[in-house]
Amino acid sequence: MDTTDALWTELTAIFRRSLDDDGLTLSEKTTAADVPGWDSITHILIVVAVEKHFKVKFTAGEIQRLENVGQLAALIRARKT
Amino acid sequence: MSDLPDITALLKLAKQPLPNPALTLRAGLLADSASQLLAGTLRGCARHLGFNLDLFEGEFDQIEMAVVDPASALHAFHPDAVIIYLAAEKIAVKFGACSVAERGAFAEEFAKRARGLHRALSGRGVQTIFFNLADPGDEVFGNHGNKVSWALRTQLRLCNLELSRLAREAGDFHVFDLAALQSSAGRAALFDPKLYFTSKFALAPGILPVVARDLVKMLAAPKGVFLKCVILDLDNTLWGGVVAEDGLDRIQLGDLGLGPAFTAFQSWLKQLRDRGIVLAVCSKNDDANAREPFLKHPDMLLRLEDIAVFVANWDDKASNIRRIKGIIEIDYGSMMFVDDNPAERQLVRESFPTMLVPELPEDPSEYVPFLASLNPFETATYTSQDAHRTIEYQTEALRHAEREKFVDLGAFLRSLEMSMVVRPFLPFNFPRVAQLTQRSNQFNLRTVRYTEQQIASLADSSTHVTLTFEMKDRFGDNGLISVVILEVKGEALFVDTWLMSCRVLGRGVEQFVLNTVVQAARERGIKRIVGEYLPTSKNGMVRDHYAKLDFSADGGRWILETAGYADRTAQIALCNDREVAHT
Repeated sequence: MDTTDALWTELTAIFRRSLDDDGLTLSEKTTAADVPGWDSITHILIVVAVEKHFKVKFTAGEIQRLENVGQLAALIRARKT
Repeated sequence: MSDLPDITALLKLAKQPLPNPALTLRAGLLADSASQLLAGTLRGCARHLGFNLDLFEGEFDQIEMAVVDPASALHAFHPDAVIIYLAAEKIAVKFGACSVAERGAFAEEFAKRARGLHRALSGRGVQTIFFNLADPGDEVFGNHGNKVSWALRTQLRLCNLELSRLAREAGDFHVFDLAALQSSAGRAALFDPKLYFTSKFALAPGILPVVARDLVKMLAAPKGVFLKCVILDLDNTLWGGVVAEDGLDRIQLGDLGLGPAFTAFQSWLKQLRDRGIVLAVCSKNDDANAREPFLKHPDMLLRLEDIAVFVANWDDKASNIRRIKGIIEIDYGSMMFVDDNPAERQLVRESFPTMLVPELPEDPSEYVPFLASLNPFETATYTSQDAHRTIEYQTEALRHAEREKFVDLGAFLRSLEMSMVVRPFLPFNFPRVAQLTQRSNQFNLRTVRYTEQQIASLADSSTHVTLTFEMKDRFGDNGLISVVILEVKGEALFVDTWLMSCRVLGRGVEQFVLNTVVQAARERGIKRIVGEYLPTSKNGMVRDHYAKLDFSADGGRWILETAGYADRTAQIALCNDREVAHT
């Protein structure tokens, strides 16, 4: 998992905006429990923003199975290749 | 007013209420789907438009409980309006469980439900804003569905027709047209099935800002916040080309060049004018050149009689707009300025920060779609007298011209031959009176807004005296120009409402009204009249109103003893036997 590439940078930007935290850093293992403000509402907005920005669509099942940010990034990457 | 922020920005704004809002709105939101995103977006959008919104969110899918139970938390909150959102998607699923007979009767049952909710809210003086139904497009029947009475699409459309009908019948029932929004934005913009089936959000986050914007406008309109006037440039705005250079036969209108786009724009403006929006022209042109197309071009839809104030000269547009305001007395925040020239737009934006100056697209084909997308003309009331507003302003311009001929104000006023009809609130004038209390911002002592239902109650009240003043002069009919509501409070008559149209300032109307108020007091054996001025950002002009009428200051209030009061001079004749509401 490359956490320095464009995808990761853009993903971090989306999280920062949706969670209103400019200094937020994400790691592969980051989960909602680790980040203040990441509740069910912001989660929905993050998913919508990710789908819009990367021009991908996830299934309901895929979203429900996500356990951390790393898996989200992997899902995006899989869609884009 | 700038571009609408996206939902993330609006949710962030929602957490930052304004310390000094122009207005605080108070509403309830009831839905049978998840409403947190809509609620947050509503608060944020209100904030973006300069208001605070105190919003009560009902429990999920507990609409009847909240509305029908008089002891509900919703009613304890005392909202001015309640927004009710029933999701068509929920109905679509229910449809599957219904028999064919039930499906065929669905719209009828739905209408009963809506009317029941309206009745309960109306009985408590609360406005209802009801979402109509956006078609989920299941295509069980395809186009054939139009032939089938129990098809979902047929029934949903009937539901929407029933809602429209109720909106026409009841002044306090308003439809939020989600179906129209879906028609222009598309189903995919409105609905994300994944979001609905996992989290019960029936509206996609991307569409929420526009939904919120229009709901906030509907909430704010009865409080006096809405556009009243459009100021229009001419060259390349109302027609293609420059009339002074291209000549009358080469400006683009009708079928010539981009003519169809300009003709469509004029048609839209004409319909605005017909509903009472005031059109003014502000053009850098010789007056004669500017008027020529209106007078002679066969493809001009707008004519001079559609334009309330016509200003064409070589002065800067800011000065001209001030001139226009001097005649129509609408505040800058209620105006929209339309001009194809970005430099002119910037100048006007800087000179009048509260004015709406949209960044008109370069392509005239986009004028109407773009301006329509801003939904600038949401309002709470419309009466048939609105169509006369343009003529009223035109005659006002004539009076202004006449004034120039007199040195002595008294002589000018006598020459006007003004006469006044005084009446109490009566059913025929309830809508217009309510509308005035909602529109009037400047000459308004206490800025109390009333709905039509509240005006009807006041008319019936034995402790209130209600007065309307309609003035004519030899130039024309000014219509209803002043409204006064008096409340009997012990030994005194308290002035709850005193508002007046700014167009009749300086004509002696205030003095005439005061004479009428004193007479009403005397008829009831009341010896004291008490007035109050509640300052707002817009009514500074009446700060000294009571002082000028020789009331004495007493604490925060103004007192006039009727003993020894002599009628003030006003060059206005009383037109009929005065009818004052009796106790």
